[in-house]
Amino acid sequence: MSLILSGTNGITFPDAVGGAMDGADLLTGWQFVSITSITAANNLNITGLAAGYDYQIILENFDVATDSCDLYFRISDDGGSNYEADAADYDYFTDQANTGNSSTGAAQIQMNSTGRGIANDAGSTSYMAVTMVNPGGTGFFHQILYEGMITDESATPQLESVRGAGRSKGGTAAIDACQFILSTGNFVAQGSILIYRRARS
Amino acid sequence: MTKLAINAATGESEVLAFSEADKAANDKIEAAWPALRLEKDALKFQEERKTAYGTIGDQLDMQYHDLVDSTTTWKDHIAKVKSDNAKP
Repeated sequence: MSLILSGTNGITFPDAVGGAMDGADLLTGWQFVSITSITAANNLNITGLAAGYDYQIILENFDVATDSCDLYFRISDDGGSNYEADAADYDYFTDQANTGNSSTGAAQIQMNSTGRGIANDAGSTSYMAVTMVNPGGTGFFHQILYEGMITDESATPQLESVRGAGRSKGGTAAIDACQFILSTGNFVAQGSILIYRRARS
Repeated sequence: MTKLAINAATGESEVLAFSEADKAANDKIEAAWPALRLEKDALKFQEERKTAYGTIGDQLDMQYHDLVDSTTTWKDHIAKVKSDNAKP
């Protein structure tokens, strides 16, 4: 990393996406890339994942149109033209409020437990932070860690913590795009997508 | 159908119409939903009964007091949970 001397404030560390690094960047290594408001859409796609970085992608304060749906995650190695979705492209284990959900061969990573879908009630707010470890690397199954909170679809909707781990095993090519998709319906226009990245060297 | 596409290199975003590949992938997921919904309802019913029954400790306490006081608190509680959370 190079140093740039600014005219008024002394030394500025430029981050990889054009802005100055802030305190959080220096402490955690994560560099802010962007924040985007979630619009009413069926899929949320993130393209342009670069080699040499870990990525953290956060869905903040999101909500869904159809009650009880599940949140899925998929990856792409062709810039987002196609997302890996064969029957055994992923392994995952999701733990939500002490109810497990896992698969050793799935067409997607399911980020909430089957018995506790995401509520669409007014005021529902769910959150999911996904860390993609070295998506641009090749020759191994890519690891995906996730943690968040879900407003579940119980008779009385309640917040529940959720966390899990998954991997793509449909191939070992570099990942350059990823996607959030629901088991039915669409995301509503609520919340934001934040993207951070961390240089690996 | 639409997708919100965000470029992680530039931070730019746009709402795009589905490609044929997007539509095929989503149609496959939507087709699986009715069966999945039934599975979820069955699991939800089990989860809600389990929560409503309460802890084993609380149930043993009810049974102890029922024996000592000749009441039917535990039996009534279980019957109410079953009726309030009917099988789908």
